[in-house]
Amino acid sequence: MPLTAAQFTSPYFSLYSKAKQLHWDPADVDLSADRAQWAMIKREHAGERYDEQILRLTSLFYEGEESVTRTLAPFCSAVSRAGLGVDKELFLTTQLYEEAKHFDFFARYFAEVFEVDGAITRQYITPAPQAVLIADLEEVTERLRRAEGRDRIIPVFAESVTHYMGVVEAMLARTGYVGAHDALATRGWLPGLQEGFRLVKRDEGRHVTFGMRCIAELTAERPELREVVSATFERHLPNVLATVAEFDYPQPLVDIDKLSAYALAQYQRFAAAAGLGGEVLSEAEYAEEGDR
Amino acid sequence: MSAVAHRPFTPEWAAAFQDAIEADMTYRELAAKWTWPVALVLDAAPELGYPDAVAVELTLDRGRCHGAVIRHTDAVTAPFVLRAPYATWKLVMRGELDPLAGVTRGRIGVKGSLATLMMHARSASALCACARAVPTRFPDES
Repeated sequence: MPLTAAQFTSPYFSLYSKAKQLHWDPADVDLSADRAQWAMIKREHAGERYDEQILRLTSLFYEGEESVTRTLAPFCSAVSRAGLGVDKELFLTTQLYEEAKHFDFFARYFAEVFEVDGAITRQYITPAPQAVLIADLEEVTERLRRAEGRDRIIPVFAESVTHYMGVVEAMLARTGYVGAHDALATRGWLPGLQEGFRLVKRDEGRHVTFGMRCIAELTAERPELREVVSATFERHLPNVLATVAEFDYPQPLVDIDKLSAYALAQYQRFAAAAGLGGEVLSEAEYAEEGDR
Repeated sequence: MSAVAHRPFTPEWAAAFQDAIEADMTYRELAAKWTWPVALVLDAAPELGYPDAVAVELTLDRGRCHGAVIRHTDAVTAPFVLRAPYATWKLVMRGELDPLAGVTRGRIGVKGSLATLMMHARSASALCACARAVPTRFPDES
């Protein structure tokens, strides 16, 4: 299917172009200062359990990035099968590459700074993140992979976009990256991890913008899909909140109230894009996510 | 609004709470799209004079409060129920805990659509902020 003139100038093509411009390589992130600082954090802040909190955070990112890398391919195929536009397919190819890079970054970080392999992350994956980040995402994307016919693909695609870009990327990933980056930057800790968070968060902004635009487009054409979006958030919000609450330590590394407020704002923006709540997002609000 | 302080979750306190909501223009503006009754439930606290759980059910509609009634929890019909122990409600009433932060941290239980409640988070916060304007005699301080 050719790229039409309209698609060549579409917001999805613009996001694709932005992804090409903002390329980065996980291998180029300088981790040289992080290993010594990690030893200091473990040695001098054991009482606050900061090392445990950092491992819990990064384990969620590690597992989450692995999960989203594994579950994105059905989106590309579904967009093609449903004829939703080559511009969307082009963008999704950049997202798949970026999710793989994010997983690559965390795998490298665990090996070179924490000096452990990724298996340690499993001990921090409790039932709430296991469900919302991994099991339920696998389930819906497997349904997306199997769906046949445009009318059957589109509702599952809307559910998948809401879960992947709305729940996992907007509410959990971007919230986590913002909270974690702020917590480390305030203390001047782990500059390599901070830089990784910054780069990953920038990519995730484009992914979330893509999801918001898709959902806005789909629900405008088929208003009944708003119920799909709403039900998807309803089903996963308890696990999102339970995941955020896991960072409510007696001496928290991250500001839990700020984290909650950010997650809530992300939800409200995504829901507004779907036309829930009666608000319509401005072009500036879409651009804000994708351009940061 | 009465200047007399009342124990929370009593009929007199509920009436004063209704008055406070009705008088709060910030709430009226923020809750313009909220159209559902809400019940706030206090867990039983016999040591403080609450032998059973008790609810204040608020008839809320587009920024107005048309009723605030104390009920046994079995009689609650509101589609949204926020439930917490005394210490948590005291923090909320004093403005020391945002209700949504209470929900996030698992200190306040929610029955009803979490998605809808979170879509109207500012309205929920403004509602609880109205409680700060109610002269309240906390039983653990008397």
